[in-house]
Amino acid sequence: MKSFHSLLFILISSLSVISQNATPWKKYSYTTHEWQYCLDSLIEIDPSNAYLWQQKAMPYFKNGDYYNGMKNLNRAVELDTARWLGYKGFMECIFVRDYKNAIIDLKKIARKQPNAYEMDHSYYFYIGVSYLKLNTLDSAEKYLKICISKPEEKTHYMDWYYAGVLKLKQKKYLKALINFNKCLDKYPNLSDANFYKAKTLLYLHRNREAHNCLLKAKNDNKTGYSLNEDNMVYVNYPFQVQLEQIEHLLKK
Amino acid sequence: MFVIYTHIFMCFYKKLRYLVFIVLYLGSLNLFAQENATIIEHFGAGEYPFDTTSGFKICGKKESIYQYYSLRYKYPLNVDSCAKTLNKFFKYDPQINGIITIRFVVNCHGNSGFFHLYEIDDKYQKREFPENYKVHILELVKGLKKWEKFVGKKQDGTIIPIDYYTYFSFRILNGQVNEIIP
Repeated sequence: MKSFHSLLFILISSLSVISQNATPWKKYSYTTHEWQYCLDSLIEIDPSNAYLWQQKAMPYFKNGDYYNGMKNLNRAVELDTARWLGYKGFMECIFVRDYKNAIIDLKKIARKQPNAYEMDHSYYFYIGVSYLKLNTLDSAEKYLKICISKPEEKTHYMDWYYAGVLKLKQKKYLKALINFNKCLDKYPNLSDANFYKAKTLLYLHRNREAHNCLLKAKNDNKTGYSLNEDNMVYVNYPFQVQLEQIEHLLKK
Repeated sequence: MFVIYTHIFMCFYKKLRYLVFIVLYLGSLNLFAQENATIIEHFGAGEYPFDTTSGFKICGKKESIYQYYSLRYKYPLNVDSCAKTLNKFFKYDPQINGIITIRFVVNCHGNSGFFHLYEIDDKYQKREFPENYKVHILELVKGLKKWEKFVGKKQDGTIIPIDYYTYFSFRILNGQVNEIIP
């Protein structure tokens, strides 16, 4: 009986391809087995379709199952490297925190597609952030510099944010301050930037200003102003600040 | 008659070819062979069998459990402090690399249970970590008590208690926790 249901499911799912619905699995929630089932049946028909493999991989990453996530994503990359290697690098950097492999993959694809973007940011952005997390500051600078070298109106607030964190780590406090101010010009309520700006000001012995920044950061964080990337609903971004960190620094 | 069927087949060949392939494939699998049938429980991404003997109860049905991200909620974990706490128990060891993920459910009372472990090495292959890693990490996760409670509302105003899945992944580098996701 179970087998019969499986057969029926595969037939129904596959018939949806014939109809106008080109992505029949999307009528199910992506955490359900129906999502996987439907994709499995389509992969039987078209095993060289990289998009189907990526769609199989994505829910696993979002739920912490990196074994199945990477297994399926690697297949997508094998089949269509130009389309999916950058995405894999993004997943490694943001979802799996595998910075070394993120750098390898993103450099490889950036050589072929230097102007391409993944999730609103250039490959150089993720390479820079990965180096920053690995504390390889000179390399991080090389890539983050590319991100902030665009015309100011085209520079994302996240570019200034990470450039600020880099300068803070390099102990170049005045430059860090400039970067955080540029970030805050674009997104004045960003609690994360005010937290790191406060840290920078403390190093510059500007304690009163630092205290004010922290109070603003605390207030903004409580009202939901933080890094606002689409994928933040799934994972925190590198150097994202928690309310507890702000409160801890305020107590000092 | 044969000519008519052939004509119809050719007209719809482009669409029917999918069906033909499926039928041929399923035939090869011999899905109807009842004597070989086995009962398989199927899971979606992030689903796993629940240990119902653990005493932990969810408020709703298993099929209705939310995901933490559907609720736009992540536990406010102090990553640095947790990593520091755990690393007191773990020694430097270049052989111990990979990720331990603990996936679990938080019920409508804000209690956690149905813990499930995934273990992989730094090449994304399955591996077993030493027992003390699993014990200490699990203990830390079980000790988190500030879980948000969620309720939903039906159209008639009836309150629906909400259970949700969530997870923590601990990336281990040279025996030490160096990242906690999400």
